[in-house]
Parts: sequence; structure tokens; C-alpha cells
Amino acid sequence: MTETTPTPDFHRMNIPGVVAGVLTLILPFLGAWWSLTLGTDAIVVTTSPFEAKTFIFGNYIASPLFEWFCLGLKLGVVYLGVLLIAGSILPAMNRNEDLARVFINFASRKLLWLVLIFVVALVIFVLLLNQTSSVLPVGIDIPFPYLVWTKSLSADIENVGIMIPICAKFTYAFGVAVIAAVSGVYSRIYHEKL
Amino acid sequence: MDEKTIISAVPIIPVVLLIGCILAAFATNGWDVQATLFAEDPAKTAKSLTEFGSGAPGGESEFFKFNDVDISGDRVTVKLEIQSPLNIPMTVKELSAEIPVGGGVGMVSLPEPVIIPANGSASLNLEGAMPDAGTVSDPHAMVNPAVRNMNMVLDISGIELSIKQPEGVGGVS
Repeated sequence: MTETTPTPDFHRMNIPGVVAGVLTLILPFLGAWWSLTLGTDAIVVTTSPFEAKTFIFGNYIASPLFEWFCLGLKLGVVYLGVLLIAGSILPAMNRNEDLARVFINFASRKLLWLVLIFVVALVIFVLLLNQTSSVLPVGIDIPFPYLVWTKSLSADIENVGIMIPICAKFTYAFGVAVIAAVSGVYSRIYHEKL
Repeated sequence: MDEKTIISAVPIIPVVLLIGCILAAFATNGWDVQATLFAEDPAKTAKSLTEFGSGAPGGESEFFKFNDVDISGDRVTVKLEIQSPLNIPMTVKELSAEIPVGGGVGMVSLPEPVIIPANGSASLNLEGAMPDAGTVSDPHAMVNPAVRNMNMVLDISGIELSIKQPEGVGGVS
């Protein structure tokens, strides 16, 4: 007797899982999720779970440990994307149903957690930044914005006056992350119905 | 590879990736904790920035150098040199100062904004009229060849900094 290859049944493919998987795969390569700019480019902070770049008056503040850690997260998220795609396609191939369930169950909610942790970490980061009085060389306290903000701040201290345009915003990559996270969660529900 | 092995490996792989990357960070920096945490000495970077902030514009500052005073007719020109420690260009939008000439005090200012290149220097020619003729006995007799009461407006990549030297404090000489 020879083993027959199961015929693909594309109605059993987890479409939200495939969408989530593809978006999760490309996510680490879309750049920063959030940026904070003081002036035009005097101080620039761009960040995502996969990178964090800080330029202060043209000086790049780098941490090799953090960069390597971000690389680990990048690889981890790519791995989640692969699992989501594999877990979504396997039922359509009528094979390894248990494996597909394990893949989907493991990978579907991780990105949502990553997005939530990122937002919470961002709020904590700005909170700590606001507590720090010596961020700028002029030594003036600046109320940094939480998440999204565009404003010009001015302050006068003794013989120094300062006017700083501040812009904080989420980028389109964050939108992609949210869509991927929601699709991932939905793929788990969808998978139960298959 | 059987299904059970794959299932047990699924949650372990990302942990291995993350730990592997952290170990690689230390390994590529010779297991030196400080070099792994910071690519450059943060104290060195902070020092260059704070020195610039505290040095402008009065007192003994390595960022401001008084070059020359030129008097021709009823005009006085003061030549200053500004050294920027920043890695980005900045613009001196406005600069005015007082300069003692003879027995009087002249007022000089920057005729137009000057861009100082990143990590470079620029010469500033402050121009102004001589003090009233009656108050100046000998215009070339400089009692104190220093500018004082300096007011300056800097544009550092969109951040506008106005610095006013306190009345009677210091001077750039």
C-alpha cells in the first residue's frame, strides 16, 4: 500500500492567521513604531521593540547590549510569523492538525502582548524622562509628551530663554503591529471553528 | 523529527534566540560590561554638551574667542570666533554686545545670521557705530579689549536658545 498525499482544502486555511503571519514577518523591517523629536532634529528618539535610536545634538547614543537584545526580539517575532503561517496552512493540507493548533496557540497572542508591553514601556520611559532634570545641557525641565503630542514649549530661566518644538507620534509601523496583533488573536478564535 | 519533539521545541526556540543574542552582545565586546552597555562613554558625551551650555557666552570659555577690534571712521568691528562642539550645525541668529572704546562704550551687533558647521568654528564680525564723539578721548585707546553684556540667539536644529549675559558680569576677551 502506498500513502496518498492529502488533497489541499483551502476552505480549511486559517486566513486571519496567514494575514497575521505575513504582517508579523514583515513587522521587524518596517522601522520605528514611535518617534519623539525636539526641534527639527536636535534630539530624536525613534523606537520599536526591534530598535531604539537616540540622537542628542548629533551624538548617537548606542548600547550594544540593547541592540543585540532587539535583534533577539526581531528574530523571535520572525519566528512567530513563521509559526502563524505554518499553523494556518497545515489544516488546509489535512495534516498535523495538533501541530497547527500548538503553533497557533503559541504564536497568536504574543504580538498583542508585545504591543501592550511596548506602549506601557513607552509611558514609563516618558515618565522617567520627565523626572530627570538634566536631560538637556541647558538644564531646563521640559514636560515631555505622552505618546502623541505636537507643541512648542518655551521657558525662561535666569538669563536663558529656550523655545523647543516637540513632536511625538506613532508611525504607520505601529498601525501594522496593531493590525497584526488583532489578526493574531482572531486567528486563534478562527482556528477553533475550523 | 517527530511531532512531540517539535511541540516541546516550539516555546524553547525564542528563549534560546534571546539568550544567544545577549551572550553574543557580551562576546563581541570582549565580555566587558561597560563596553556592552554603552558604545561610547556617556560621561564624555554629557561633558561636551554641558560644557557648551555652561560656557556660553560669558566668562572664560573655550567656545568663544575674542579675535580683534577694528576701528575705521565712526564704525567699530569686533571679530569673534565661535567653536561648536556639536555634531550638528547651528545658526547664530542674533548677537549683540557692548565694547569699551576709549572712554565710552560702543554697541556692536551681528549684521546677518551666521551658520556654524558641525564640530567647526565660524568667525563673527560684529559691527556698530562708535560711541558719541564727545565721550571718546582716544578711540584707539582700549581700556579693556573685551565685549560684555552679550545677548545671543542661537538656533540649534529648531531649538531656539536666547542667552543674555548678566549686566556687568564677565566678558569675552
